Amino acid sequence: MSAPLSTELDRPSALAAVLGGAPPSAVTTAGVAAARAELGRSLPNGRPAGGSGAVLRLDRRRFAALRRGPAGLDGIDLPFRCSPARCRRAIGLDALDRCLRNRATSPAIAVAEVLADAEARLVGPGTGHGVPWWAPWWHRQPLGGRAVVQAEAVVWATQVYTGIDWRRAGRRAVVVTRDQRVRVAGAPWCRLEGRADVRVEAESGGAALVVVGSGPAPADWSLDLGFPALVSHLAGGRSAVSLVVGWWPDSGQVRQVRVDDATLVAMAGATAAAASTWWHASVPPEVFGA
Amino acid sequence: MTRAAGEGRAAEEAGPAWGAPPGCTGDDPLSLLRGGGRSRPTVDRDAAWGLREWVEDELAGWPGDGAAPVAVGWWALPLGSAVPWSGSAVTSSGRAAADGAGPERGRRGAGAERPADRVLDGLVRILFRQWVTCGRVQDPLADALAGLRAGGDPAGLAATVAGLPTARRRALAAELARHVGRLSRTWPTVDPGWVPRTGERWTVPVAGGRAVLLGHPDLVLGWPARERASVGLVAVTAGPVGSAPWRRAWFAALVETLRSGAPPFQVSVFSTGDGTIDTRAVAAHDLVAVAGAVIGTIRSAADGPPRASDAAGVEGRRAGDGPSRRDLPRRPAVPVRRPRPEPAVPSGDGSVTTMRAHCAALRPEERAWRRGGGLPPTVAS
Repeated sequence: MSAPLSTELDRPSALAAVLGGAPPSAVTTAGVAAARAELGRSLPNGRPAGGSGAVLRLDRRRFAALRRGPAGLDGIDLPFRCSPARCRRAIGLDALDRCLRNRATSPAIAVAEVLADAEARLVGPGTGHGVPWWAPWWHRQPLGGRAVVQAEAVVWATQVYTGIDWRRAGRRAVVVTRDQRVRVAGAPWCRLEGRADVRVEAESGGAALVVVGSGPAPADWSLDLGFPALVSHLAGGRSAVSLVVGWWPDSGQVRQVRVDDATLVAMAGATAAAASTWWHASVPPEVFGA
Repeated sequence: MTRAAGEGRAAEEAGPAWGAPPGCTGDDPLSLLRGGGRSRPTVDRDAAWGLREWVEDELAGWPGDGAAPVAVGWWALPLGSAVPWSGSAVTSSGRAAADGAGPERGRRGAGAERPADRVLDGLVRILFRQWVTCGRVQDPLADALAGLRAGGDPAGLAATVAGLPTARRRALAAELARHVGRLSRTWPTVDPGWVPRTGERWTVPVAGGRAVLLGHPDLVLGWPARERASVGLVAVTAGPVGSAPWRRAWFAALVETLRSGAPPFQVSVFSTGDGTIDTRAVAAHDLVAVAGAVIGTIRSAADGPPRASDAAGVEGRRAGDGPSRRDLPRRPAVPVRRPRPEPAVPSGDGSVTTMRAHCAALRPEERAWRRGGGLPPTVAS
């Protein structure tokens, strides 16, 4: 499922070669239909009986937690709290986009521009329009706190910008700033949210997604990487994702998943199993006669 | 001065540009950070990957801690006089002389140094991060505490400061202000084209994931290496340049080599205590010594490596960084094994060669197999 990087090349060139060499899509319409069918068959139909009508937004973090079974239920619905670690990707993505579009000359400058832009939107004339979600929290921080946020964003943006030879990466590298969201037919309580950081259109016509992680790669990294590919194919639209590259800069680990029909169906099964854990936990005990 | 990304890399890769930039003398801080005019070594990827294989081989039989991976940081490097992390090679002597310390400071033995105060060291390191990132510090103590709290303060330094009596807290604030003043006077402004990043936390799993090496340099400079080594690491300390910051720097050099497949060209220690920068070029045998010491420490422990009881400062972690050493059970102190020499590898003709020479002589398909890229050549053929 994962081929090693070339060790003859330096790391940025090796990563670029992988991205630019993404194969043509091996996913067929029938494969996508089979993945939909697997989801429809494996997910419980309808909302949890007697439940509150809550919707499971199954993103990468919740998917990883729910893969552990009921033990992973703790904490997945905790209220979101801003922190430098959580803001750094959002700020870093914007900075990376500026660097790739040659609007900034270095990640540090790009991050400073992103922060200045956010502050201007927050406190300048016409306030409130286009303010990033992290900006109000960041703006409330004292100087020391702001500096940590900025430093974390610089680290993230620099790691990604310098870690790939973008000129060799492919026809077009696009920073992915929005998650893909898909509703599952027959399971209105479940919404899938796929997240990748960069999308590269390869010469072959296929597309590669880059997912940047922190720390070391998890043991079940293939599920982590297959999930955004599944969501992308279910959402349809743009050229089909044929390769997902997981990259953990902190550990230097790179993993790849080639996407084909069998991968999608397997991912649909794993996704349904994780989501079902949440659904069953949401069912009041009396429904089971307890 | 700013440069476009491609231009920046081209400038970094150019041969003659490795020396000091115009206007920098040999002991200028900027020149020292660039290598002091020394020619940077060619990257030997085979040696770097061979180092990784050696570490994996040596720890293959190590049972680990059972459930959770064991976190191993710079504290795993033993103290000693015959190891690269106990001394320095090049000092910003002019600036040191101006501060009254002199170049002899870098040659002090480990026993002569005064251990930096743990709290002061942690506060100075986070203010260094702020200075490099934002270029300003308003209220040193308040800024440092705000930075710690924003980052979650895993080392509990903010709580420690909050618990100090008022007089000691004022004294700490005054001491911190002196360090920041020295930092602002002596630390050079680094070109953004050098892609400076502060506070990176590297987590490299080894031994099949049973141990995780934690590298935490205070500052990383330079683009990832291509033909020549291009990354420089800096460790910051509030005290004199002693063994602790050097151990941090050398351990980070090892982790960077294992992480990226290319060693840094030098490690540096910057002291806000006297405003000096000490640098040392990274040689392959130094990294072998560091790796041997880490292997020896891990393997000599009866049931795991020593704890981080002396890990000073902001050695905290982010969410998702892997195991927390705070989660691991405390262990008794264990004897430390001396660094091992570079391992000997029997060659095909019966003679014995070194690991580095052995890896360099491998055929490409053998190298690919040793990195997990398919069947062994003998089986495949």
